Amino acid sequence: MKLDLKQDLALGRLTLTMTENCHGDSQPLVDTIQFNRFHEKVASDTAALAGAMIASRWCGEVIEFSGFKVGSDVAEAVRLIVPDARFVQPIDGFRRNLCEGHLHLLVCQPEEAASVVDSSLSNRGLIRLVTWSGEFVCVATGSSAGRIAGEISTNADILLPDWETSIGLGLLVGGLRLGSILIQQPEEEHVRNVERIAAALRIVGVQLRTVPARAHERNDSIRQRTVAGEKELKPTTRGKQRPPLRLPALAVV
Amino acid sequence: MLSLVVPVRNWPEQRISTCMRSFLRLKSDTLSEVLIVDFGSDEPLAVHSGDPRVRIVRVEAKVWSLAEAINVGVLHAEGAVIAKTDADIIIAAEAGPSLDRAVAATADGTTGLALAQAIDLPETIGAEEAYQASSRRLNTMGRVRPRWGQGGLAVFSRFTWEAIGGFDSRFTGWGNEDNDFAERVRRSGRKVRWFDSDALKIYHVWHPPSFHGKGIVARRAANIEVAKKDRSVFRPLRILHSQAPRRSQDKSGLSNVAPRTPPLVTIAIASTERKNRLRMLKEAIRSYVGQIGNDMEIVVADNGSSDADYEHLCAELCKLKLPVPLRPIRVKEPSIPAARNAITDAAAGRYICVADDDDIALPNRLMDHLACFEKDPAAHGSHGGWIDFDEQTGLIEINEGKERTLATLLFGSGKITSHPTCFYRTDVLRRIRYDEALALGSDFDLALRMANAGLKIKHTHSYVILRRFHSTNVTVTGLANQVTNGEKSRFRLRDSLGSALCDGFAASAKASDQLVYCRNRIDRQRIIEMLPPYAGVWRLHFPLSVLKTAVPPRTNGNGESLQPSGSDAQESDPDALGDRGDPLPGAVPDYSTVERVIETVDGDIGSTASGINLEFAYVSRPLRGAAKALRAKRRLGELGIEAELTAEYDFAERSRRGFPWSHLKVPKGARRLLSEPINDPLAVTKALAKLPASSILRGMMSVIADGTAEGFRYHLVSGPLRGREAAQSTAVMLRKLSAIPFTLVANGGVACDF
Repeated sequence: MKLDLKQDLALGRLTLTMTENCHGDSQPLVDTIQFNRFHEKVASDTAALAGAMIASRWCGEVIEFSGFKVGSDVAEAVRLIVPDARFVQPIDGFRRNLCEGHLHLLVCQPEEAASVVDSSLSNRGLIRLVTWSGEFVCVATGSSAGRIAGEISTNADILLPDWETSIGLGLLVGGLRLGSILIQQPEEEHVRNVERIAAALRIVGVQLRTVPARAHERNDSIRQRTVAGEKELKPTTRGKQRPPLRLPALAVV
Repeated sequence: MLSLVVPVRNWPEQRISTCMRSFLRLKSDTLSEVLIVDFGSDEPLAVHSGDPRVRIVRVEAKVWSLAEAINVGVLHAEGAVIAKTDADIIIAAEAGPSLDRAVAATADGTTGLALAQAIDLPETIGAEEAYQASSRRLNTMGRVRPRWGQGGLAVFSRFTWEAIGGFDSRFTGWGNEDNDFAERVRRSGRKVRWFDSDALKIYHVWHPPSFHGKGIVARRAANIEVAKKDRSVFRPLRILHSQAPRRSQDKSGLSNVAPRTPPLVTIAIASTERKNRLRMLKEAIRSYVGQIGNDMEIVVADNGSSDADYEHLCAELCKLKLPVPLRPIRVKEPSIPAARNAITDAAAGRYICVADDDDIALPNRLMDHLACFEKDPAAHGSHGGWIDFDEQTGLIEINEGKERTLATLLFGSGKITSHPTCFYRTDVLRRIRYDEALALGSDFDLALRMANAGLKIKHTHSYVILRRFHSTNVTVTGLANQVTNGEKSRFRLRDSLGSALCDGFAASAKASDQLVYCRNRIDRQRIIEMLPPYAGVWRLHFPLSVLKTAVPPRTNGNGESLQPSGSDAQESDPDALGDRGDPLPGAVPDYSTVERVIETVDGDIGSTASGINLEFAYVSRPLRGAAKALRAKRRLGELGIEAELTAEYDFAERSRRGFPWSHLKVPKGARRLLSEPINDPLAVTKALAKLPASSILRGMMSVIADGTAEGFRYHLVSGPLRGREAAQSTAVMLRKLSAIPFTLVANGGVACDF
């Protein structure tokens, strides 16, 4: 699988195209993943990890990055993320771009933000909240009730579960400053996969943490919006980026 | 769990037996049956193994098709996972656990197709000797075949096989059907994996090359062409070369669809209880039957009807004896998106064809949609043009639609797409659902979200449906809500995209805002033939000039003319047809021919539009129902008259449209003479006839037809006249001859003094 990353800072769009270049590659439902209202400049190493995570289900034995090289530590992490990938290229073994991470990102969908922020007690200082929205209609309920637009919009959740989209987005937003990514705790069936990704990210010095959501609060907030009727369609966030949240403590899970 | 399929035709029994025994000796937990498919061998195959797991399936076939033989084997197999091998393959005795791992990987979906790399054995080792020999010896003697041939041993799940429509039966002989299958598995989103040749060893036993067989080279070339040209993923499973059984419900004789396979298309009809529902629903259903060899199912979702209504619907649908499966399902709460989602969940077809219960599919619909997927295998759906018709008035509007992109949907103008013309992959609709939070407008919202997700929805470049307008149309009754919800969906999406991107899309929409060309351009008269027999109120009309040559003279039994030699009409209007080359405006043919037309279709002489010097036409009385109008048209056709049908509403609209007086130009310094309005077209012709045929006056006169609310009014108008005296004397002469008063007019028909 060849991954082609393009960014247009003026338009605020980041696209990641999956091109087949190996016999074992398969075609995903959509081959171009978009991130809209994305104004951060991406770093190649974390972008490679995010790309590998997005492509992992369709990637054969070769994973190739177009336009940039990755360090050997990133390549090792990629091999862990994409179990089938025997060949990662191009690698420049002497590169070491990731610095000591100091940025902590809490990534989730906007309607989950309230309950997740509340439950993530931190004593580490600044944590930035990044909200994203994807397909507005939930597959399980067939309804968009309670779903609102986030800071960044993407179609990645067409292919990936929410927790994986959150990690990928955290890697892209955080770049070289990234210290840890906090995501909402996924369902039981995904726990092993989360552990695998967490192990891969540890290789490059990024910590992955999960934050339990307060289910009852989440349901309440959705119910409130549903009662509001038409208002639920109106997004609450506008183009501006939110200031970092000051949270009292960080719950490590 | 694992069914091994070995397709053969005229292979030596000893070879087949060796292959079969090599698999039966494996220490495998999964191998449950071995199916040997005898695909039309000259002599029926008789292989005795004594193992109850072995079955021989024989089908008669004139042409050897390895692809179809494998499909027949899979159709007979009972396992959830299929392994396909050739009769010249021997598997290593210790490969059992490896085979089980491959089976497990395909069964859980992590691998779509598991392949084993073959080792070619030399000519010196026969099949039996290879069977007896140890793997170590065979490995040293043989030569590893590169990983391009995929036919040696392929393991795939039945689910995968069904999902892509099995092997393509168009491949005859052997070669390339395996590459094509592997490629389609890959393009369908599944992984193709070579299992490590050290773990899963298979040996290809030498045999004389089969390239020398009759027609083999030509067949292989044809196969390569098919594999190269057709890049589609899903292919309908067909039985083309053998006598294998077809699907049981196909009684039409058109179909060659394999049994026990899911239908290609699910026709998804969401239906709500309302006036005339059953009549419209039956017409909608019947319009699909017979298309694409009936490889379809029809699912009707009843949307929030009462128990009694639902039972009545089921009973009525049961009475329709259709050659395709028809399933009613029920959504208790009335919600169109919920009904659509319920159909998606219930659909067994690979594609979902969206249909409304009041629309009629054109005969090309399903074929054209499927052609889009053949052209572009990465397409997620397609939509087409549509023809609106009003059931009451018969008004027809032709809509081509536009290319469906995010830019056109967000910022485009006019009619871009219509939901009942859409056709989607079922997996796409299962992922991108209709929004049940929207009571109306969920179809446009779905189109927007699909475009935003990057899905490719292609245009068929053809009209695909007749969309009915009637008193209980959702589009009519809920238009305001639809528009409001559509704007909300647009707003939500624009907000999530950001202003910079939206500006880019707006510019791109402006640049690409154009209609699509539809190649099956349908004449309006042909559309009327396709309408339901009761639809519309129509008028038949034709220009009077066609009567000059069209109507043959009446004859008695002996062939003598019954036409009176000097009829009153001819005597009274000797110059009725005029003496110029073209028919004079207002010219009337002899009344006897008109009588014959009136006997056929009752009507009158008049105009069909406002204008100057337009020829008078014969216009029928309003005819209710397309069938009645078409019958009348056919009868006129028998008289040699090619008449045109126009909806009464359209006709009335046209006749209400007045003459554009601003177009009546008069040169500077000149004037025209305009008569008082005349209501009767015959009076116009009589007035004209009174002018001497050879005079300059006759040559300079024109007739204006001016539409009003009460009907057409006519004016005689002269050519431009220069000088007051000339105008005055001409006016006096005209009044004297025609007995109609004239006034002087300037540009735009404005009255002025002498």
